[in-house]
Amino acid sequence: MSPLLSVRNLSTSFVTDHGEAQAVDGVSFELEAGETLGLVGESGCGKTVTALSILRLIPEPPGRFSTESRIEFCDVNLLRLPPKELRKVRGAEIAMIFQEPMTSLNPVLTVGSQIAETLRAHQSISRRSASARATELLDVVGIADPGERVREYPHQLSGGMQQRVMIAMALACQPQILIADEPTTALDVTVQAQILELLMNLKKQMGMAVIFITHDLGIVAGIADRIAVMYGGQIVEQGPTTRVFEQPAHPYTEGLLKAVPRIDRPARTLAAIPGTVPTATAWPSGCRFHPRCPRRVERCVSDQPVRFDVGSGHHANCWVVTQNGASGDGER
Amino acid sequence: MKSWLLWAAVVGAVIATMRFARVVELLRTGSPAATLVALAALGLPVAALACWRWCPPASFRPEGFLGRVVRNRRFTVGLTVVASLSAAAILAPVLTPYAPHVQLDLATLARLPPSFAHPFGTDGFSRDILSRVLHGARYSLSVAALSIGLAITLGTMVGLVAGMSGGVIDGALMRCVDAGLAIPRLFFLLVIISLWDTVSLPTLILVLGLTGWFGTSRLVRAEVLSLRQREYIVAARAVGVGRWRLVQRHILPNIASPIIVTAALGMGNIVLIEAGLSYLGIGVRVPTPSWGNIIRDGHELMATAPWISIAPGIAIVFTVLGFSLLGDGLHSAINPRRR
Repeated sequence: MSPLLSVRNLSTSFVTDHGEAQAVDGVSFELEAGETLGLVGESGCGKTVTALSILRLIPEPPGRFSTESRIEFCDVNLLRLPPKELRKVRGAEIAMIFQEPMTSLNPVLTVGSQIAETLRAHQSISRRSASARATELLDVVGIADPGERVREYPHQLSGGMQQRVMIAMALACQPQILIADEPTTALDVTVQAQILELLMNLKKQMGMAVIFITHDLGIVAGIADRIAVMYGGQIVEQGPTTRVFEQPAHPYTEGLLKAVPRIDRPARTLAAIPGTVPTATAWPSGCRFHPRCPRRVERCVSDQPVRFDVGSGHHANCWVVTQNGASGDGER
Repeated sequence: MKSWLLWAAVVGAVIATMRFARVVELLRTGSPAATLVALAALGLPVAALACWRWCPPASFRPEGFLGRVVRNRRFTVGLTVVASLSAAAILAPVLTPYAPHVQLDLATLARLPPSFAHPFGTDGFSRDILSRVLHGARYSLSVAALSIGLAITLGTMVGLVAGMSGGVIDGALMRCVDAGLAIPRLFFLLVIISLWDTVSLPTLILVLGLTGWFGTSRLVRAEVLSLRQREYIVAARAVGVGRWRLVQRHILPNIASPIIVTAALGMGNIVLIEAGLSYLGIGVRVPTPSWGNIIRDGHELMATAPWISIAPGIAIVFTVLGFSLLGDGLHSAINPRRR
């Protein structure tokens, strides 16, 4: 059986004054029904552009997809879908929640009418029953006193409640896939935990698949079945969460893990990865990580690494792993 | 603020009582417009009294957006001026002692200076200038309001289409707007209007409206472009909200305030343009009174009977000032940086 969502060779670029910015370059991954995929990486590595590309929310122009890019949802290529069909997928089959709940809700509409709008965009449902359903949904996402809240405006709610409203909006039509783009980054740590728990409970109840985008490895460790690590617009390593955490194959992943404070180890100075993420208009030659890589060999400077299988569905794009006897499947 | 309402109620009641015969006469004619005017004459004092009676106490400081607008001094003064002028225009048939075109007595009543019988004097044809200015207000203000309405609607639609579609359509529309903005408006109007021998009021409104939307479309397009990048617009698209609904529910309400400000500021401008055209004799044509052509009636007699041109001139000044204050007050109430 083919996976629920299959992203193949996704390349998204933007035409800018400084040349073409290759924000996402040849990203491939798959998502099975009911699975949680953690998409991890630093700011500017292309996580958000990947997510927006899936729903075709990238403004075109200046955004552009390469001709080989394919995003197959239930065997339909979303990149070839006419706008009308696409609209039926957005919200109903694939929904998304964003990083900043404050700016993601329309300030001039009540939260109830924004939730009702999602419903009315996809179902033939009366205004009254849509707003009744909106109240129910607010209850489902754990907002106290939903009958009152439904008539309030976003600025009257706290950040955590606003994010709950966003979740209610996204889940209103029971989508098969939820893309969560750093949904907890803008929130307090305690609220973060509540929102995560809510998301995971709802995921279990509805049996949907989740793409969880974050830069926080601690979060994905707890919730993701599989992890894909992005660097410089490419996925450099992906595999089952425990495998990636225990035996990171890519030096970048290794660096990231060393940079996370651990409660179960003695406190020492945290390791940092030297340098910063290169810009998308001028990626380094060869492996994009080589200027910052502690283990680079000569080949890394000239040739882009292909994807190597390191066992148990665990892949890494790195020349160094070949020395450990891994076999490449030739794909980037 | 509150005492003004009582004043308005008292003044309105006095006028309605003094000219009660005229109200009855208007009701008798049975034409819908006359009936409306008569009912307004009776209703406005009652409304003012009701507002005064049930108005919140003076210590009441309204909060939120409306509160900010109402607390703005420039806005309230502007609104008062505009509302008084509009009320005077609506009630002109009740307020004025004569019909605007009646020549009282060419031999003895022409060019009289202001007096109790004729507060603004009479003109060269022995017509009462107060009656002409108040009736002129109806034409001047309604021409301005209707053409601004048309211009704002058109400008908003073009701006929305350009901003939402982008690319070639956007480029083409904006180049047309550039061309429209490059031609001096008054010159453009003179050329268009000179195509006809006589310009009917609807044509005048149409021409003024069709030449006034360029600036608005620019503004709306810019607002749409910046709004489209906002996360909540992207979020709305992400849940599958369609294009039309996106515009109607998410974009329009968020750009309404700058549009309203432009409309208010544009009113003053278009009153001036209409006055200019009427002064040149190509706007509202005599004998229909408008402020511009009353000034024209008086310009040859400026040395001997200056009051003919002065009264409509003052009316124009107050209107432009009123709308400017109104628009400016709204602007600073809306714009948080100027609060």
